Amino acid sequence: MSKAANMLSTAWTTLRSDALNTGTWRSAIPTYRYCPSPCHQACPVNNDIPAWIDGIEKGELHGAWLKLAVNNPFPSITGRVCHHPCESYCNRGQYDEKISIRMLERYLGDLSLERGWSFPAVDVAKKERVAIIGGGPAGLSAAYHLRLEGYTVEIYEARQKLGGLLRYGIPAYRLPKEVLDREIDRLLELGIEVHTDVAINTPGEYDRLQKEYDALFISTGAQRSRKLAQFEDSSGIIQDGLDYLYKVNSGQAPGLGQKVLVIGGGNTAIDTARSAKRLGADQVMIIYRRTEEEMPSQKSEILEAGEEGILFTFLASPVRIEKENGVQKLVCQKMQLGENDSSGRPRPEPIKDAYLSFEADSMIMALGSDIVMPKIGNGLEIQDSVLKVDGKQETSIKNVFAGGDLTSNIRFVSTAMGAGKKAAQQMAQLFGGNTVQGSSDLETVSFEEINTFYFPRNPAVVSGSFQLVVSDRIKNFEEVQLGISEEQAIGEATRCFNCGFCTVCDNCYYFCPDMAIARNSGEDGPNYTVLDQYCKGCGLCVRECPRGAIVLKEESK
Amino acid sequence: MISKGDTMLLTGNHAAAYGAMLAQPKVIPIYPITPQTPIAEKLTEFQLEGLLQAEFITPESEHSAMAACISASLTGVRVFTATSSQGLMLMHELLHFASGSRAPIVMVNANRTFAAPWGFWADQTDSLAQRDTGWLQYYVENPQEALDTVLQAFKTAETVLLPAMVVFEAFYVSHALEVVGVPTPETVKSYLPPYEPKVMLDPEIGRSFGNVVDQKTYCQHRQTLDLAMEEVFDVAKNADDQWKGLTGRGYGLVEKYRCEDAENIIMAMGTISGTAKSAVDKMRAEGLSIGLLKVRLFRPFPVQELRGILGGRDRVIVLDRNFSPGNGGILHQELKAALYGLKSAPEIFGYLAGVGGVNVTPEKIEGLVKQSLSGQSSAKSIWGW
Amino acid sequence: MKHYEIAEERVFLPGHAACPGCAMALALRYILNTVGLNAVGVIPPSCMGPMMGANPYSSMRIPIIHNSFESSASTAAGIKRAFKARGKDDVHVLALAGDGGTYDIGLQALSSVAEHNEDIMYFCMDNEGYMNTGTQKSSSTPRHAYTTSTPGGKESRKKNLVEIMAAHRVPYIATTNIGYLDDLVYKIKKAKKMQGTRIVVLLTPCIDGWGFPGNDVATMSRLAVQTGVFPLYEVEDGEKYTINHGSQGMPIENYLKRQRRYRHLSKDQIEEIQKEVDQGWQRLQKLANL
Ligand SMILES: Cc1cc2nc3c(=O)[nH]c(=O)nc-3n(C[C@H](O)[C@H](O)[C@H](O)COP(=O)(O)OP(=O)(O)OC[C@H]3O[C@@H](n4cnc5c(N)ncnc54)[C@H](O)[C@@H]3O)c2cc1C
Ligand SMILES: Cc1ncc(C[n+]2csc(CCOP(=O)(O)OP(=O)(O)O)c2C)c(N)n1
Ligand code: SF4
Ligand code: SF4
Ligand code: SF4
Ligand SMILES: [Mg+2]
Repeated sequence: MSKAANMLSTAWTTLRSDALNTGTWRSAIPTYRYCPSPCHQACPVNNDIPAWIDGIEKGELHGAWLKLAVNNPFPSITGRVCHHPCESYCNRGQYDEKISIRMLERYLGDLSLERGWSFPAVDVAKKERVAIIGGGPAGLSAAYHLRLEGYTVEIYEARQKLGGLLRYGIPAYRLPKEVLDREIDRLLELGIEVHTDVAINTPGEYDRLQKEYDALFISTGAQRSRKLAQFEDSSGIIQDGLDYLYKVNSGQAPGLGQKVLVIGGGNTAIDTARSAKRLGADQVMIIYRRTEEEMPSQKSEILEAGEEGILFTFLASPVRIEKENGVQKLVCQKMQLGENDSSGRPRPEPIKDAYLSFEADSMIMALGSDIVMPKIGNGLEIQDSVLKVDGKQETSIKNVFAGGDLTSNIRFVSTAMGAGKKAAQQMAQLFGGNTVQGSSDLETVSFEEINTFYFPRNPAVVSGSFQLVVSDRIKNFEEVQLGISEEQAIGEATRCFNCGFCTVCDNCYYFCPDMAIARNSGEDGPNYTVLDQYCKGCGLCVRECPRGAIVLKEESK
Repeated sequence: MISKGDTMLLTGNHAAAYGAMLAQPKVIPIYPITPQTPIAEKLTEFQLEGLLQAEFITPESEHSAMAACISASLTGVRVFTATSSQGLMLMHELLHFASGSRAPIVMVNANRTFAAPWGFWADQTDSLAQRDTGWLQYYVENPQEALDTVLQAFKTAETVLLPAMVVFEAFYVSHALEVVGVPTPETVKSYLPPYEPKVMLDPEIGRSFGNVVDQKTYCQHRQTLDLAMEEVFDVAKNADDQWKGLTGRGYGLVEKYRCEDAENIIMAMGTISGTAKSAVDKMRAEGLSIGLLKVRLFRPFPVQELRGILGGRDRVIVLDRNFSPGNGGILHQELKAALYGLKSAPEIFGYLAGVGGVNVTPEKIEGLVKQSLSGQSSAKSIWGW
Repeated sequence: MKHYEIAEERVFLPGHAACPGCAMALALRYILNTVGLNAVGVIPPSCMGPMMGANPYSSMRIPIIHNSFESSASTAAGIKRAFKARGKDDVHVLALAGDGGTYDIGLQALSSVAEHNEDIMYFCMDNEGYMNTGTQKSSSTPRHAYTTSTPGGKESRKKNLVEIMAAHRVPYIATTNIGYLDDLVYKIKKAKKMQGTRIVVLLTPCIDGWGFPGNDVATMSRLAVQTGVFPLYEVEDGEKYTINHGSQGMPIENYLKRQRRYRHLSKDQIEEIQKEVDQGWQRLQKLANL
């Protein structure tokens, strides 16, 4: 070959473009971030919902349960009775139907019981000791989180068994005792000493506990039923709802006759009515002074009660009891709705001279309850008729924390558990060990950040469609709502957007026209890095992330 | 040792086809046009007879044919094609592309007038209009030279990595039957090594061709092209010499006929040089000191050799069967430029002879020579029929 | 969730000069990385020119020839035949041309190659205009679209390349785009396994030429499908039509209103386009025997 032919022709390439730096074109760079989902933020225990739902979707069920258990030791319980505020905030609700988060939670909880999964063993021992007074959901949740951190925890419970209203309030047809027992037992396996039948009532007892323990958590609930002034001395005729449910739940329910009136509109009223029906009452009627709209109990329960033949009379307020020829009658005044009151609900106002009366064999008051102030020290304060605590669940007495119904008028199982968790977190911090996962005040992922292309529209797994038939249900205290199958659970999990939670779907990696996203295999699974040298900042990865787990951040150069 | 091979009666087209067949190209993209068509036909015959194993591509146009020539050549195989006139014009863009690609394609072009108006006659303007495209251009005179030059063109082109055109005139060569010595395949094998470029399009090499370059690189690229063209003189000369050694037939880059002491030189390309030889003989017999210089390699233009030969002569009479409107005969122009500044330069006379395929007889040539002897040379080419 | 799992060979490299967020670059990634390293490509002048790199750099690990504008198909055929002659018939040869290089100036060469059923894969990166030269119209530019050579909106409709090529009865033609990466990769894989002339037309929305935000190429690609402007389908042997993703009855306005090139449209013009799109969609369904 000639000299010229041997000279490397200048029109052939010799180098590769990956030696070049297109990163200099950029004015913004994608950044992987933790961004809470609205469901997570709405959950009182800050359940990491998108994370464990992702686990279900991927069929990693044990891992999913473990992730769930980080914040919630009782998924079988909350999966049945939680008021599920998470679902109200679910982004998918803006698309077709919200995710049945609670059903999924129950699915995982039940699965864990069925398979006998235990919590990870506590592998640290810390010297601090905490006494918990009251073994309801608030106390148990606090115990759980403290114990997981290695603290010694002892529970003092006035009743024979733990559980609080989970056991003595909520009837078995909504929360089977077996489920309750097994979740509590599993918790206790972590090594928690329990003193049942021990009520802490006196200043002396509190004194002792304060001396013996590094901190206290008081979660004695709201035990004192409210009464109506006009019926103050009708105790022989009128029974107390909470007391009735306690007896029902302890297998000592009294007979109520054929016609039963229940006064009130909350959980207690409905559960009382439904229990009475199951125990043989022919005609059970709930009397409520507002309308169905304002009833504080969960909608599904009102629905189920209706299905079971419970009657409702709205806009009626009891005034007196009349007795005629041995027949008892409750006379009520008719009401109408007025302006909103401080609770944000319309105030019921009596309609002059308009009355109704109902015959009754038994009458039960279910009007809610008030707290009994713990007799500890003398600095405790009451606010809005509950014990006052600060944002960290700490009372005005040092190292004395409190939570649950005792400190809040928002009375739900998960709220109580959230308070227990928060208190545990604060105590751990106090003891210098804070690792309990807290909530964040970050902005949540909005629906607009979801790329819905990746989520074909399809309806939710509706819980109502798995109930026992009514005729069977009113015969006994068998659980009414059934759970869902694995297939259904995975189907429902697949619907979840996993807002803000990187599911390692690889979309960002796949959609980069500049190959500027590296997929790495990290210790806890794959993760991604943006290659600074190449990324041009187009934002396509951000746009194609189905769930808002990356954002584009302006760069100043 | 000289090997005679076979002797056959062949047209220029078929002789070229024999040359191509003996070179055993691997890919032949080709599109028919009068008067080149018999080349394509002969090659497909060879293929049928098993004398040739090539990939034939018969695309929809010469443009696509040349595109396939370039890419096939860059993929590392020997490529041959042939065209004429309109077809060559249609290829124009890609002729540049081919040389820029340093693709040693060999193409036969049968010189033919181009439209408008339509005609099918011998005229070299079609190929001369491609003189700036970076192709080697050989102008040959008869079927034997066509066959020999196709093989020499492959050897030269593949050595310097430039494409080469072998050009002859429509009908006068393409369809003229003559006795042609056809070398044996062994002879050709010993002469023409297989084409094995170092760089080519191949996944195992992984280098790309033709990406955008900056001004400086472009300029450099053009300079190496120049360098390659410069090397052609030696390489082509060697190729010719070697061929002569093998077959007894050599032509030189320019062919001198009775030039030794000639004061007057006729200069031409293609068949007119053949005719001119008899004119020279006649005029010599009449006592005129005259010879013929046939330019065989027109690109690169053998400037140094021409200056050497023509320095000290009285007169050069250039006969152009081509026409560049506005500046006359192309060989005439080129020669003037080539001899510029030469101390003992001859006077140069340019005649447009045979444009459009008009027959140029020995008498005609004699007449033009005589005209030059009595007249003043002019810068402009003169229509001499 | 819809989940991609795409195996890639690393052929297309970062450091290329495509606009940020370019659909064509993303499409190239999947074409090249799916076809793999045993391939040679042909790229004519088009937006892919800058993407292939400025000498001496190449963004592609397979050899590419940056050929002349009008001859991609024939250039590819030349390469394939040369490999055949060299006994390396397993090398895949790809042509990657723009719509200008395909619908317009390169159609003649493509037609010939298709008629010969040359063994190449031909990819048309359809951004509906001459974008590399500054947004002039091509015969792929849709009716009423603004380009610098149709400042009042283009008066004629878009050419139907697929039907033209289907009439050649080539073994495989498909349309696809990067909004449906799985579909895109599926079709390239399928084409790769076949022989003869295989043609894939990819709609590659152009950020600058169409006028929409730089992170929107996938969305725009999907809208084109969901509105029925650019259904994703396959034609085998010129006869068997299969629709993979088609119109979801979404009004054309959803697509048009996001693009600057349609900013000037009147209500009547939108309706006219809607009608044409509907007709096209119905026609396609008929061809697919639906
Ligand atoms: C009938 C009914 C149904 C309900 N249904 C639902 C529902 O479906 N979903 C929902 O979210 N919420 C429901 N609630 C509300 C929910 O049960 C409570 O908000 C929640 O149980 C509060 O938890 P806690 O731990 O604060 O109190 P509790 O559950 O009341 O537990 C307090 C515990 O402290 C013990 N204790 C009290 N005093 C002492 C003492 N002096 N010393 C030692 N121990 C003491 C009690 O025996 C009890 O075990 C329902 C409530 C009722 C009454
Ligand atoms: C023969 C020829 N005419 C014109 C051009 C100029 N030119 C280069 S690219 C181009 C337009 C390319 O359009 P298209 O094929 O659609 O590719 P895009 O730039 O849109 O990717 C034109 C007209 C050229 N290179 N060659
Ligand atoms: S879609 Fe999933 S992650 Fe998002 S809010 Fe709903 S449940 Fe939570
Ligand atoms: S696109 Fe997928 S992998 Fe990437 S950040 Fe979002 S969820 Fe994670
Ligand atoms: S897609 Fe790639 S180039 Fe664009 S912002 Fe994301 S990482 Fe950067
Ligand atoms: Mg284009």
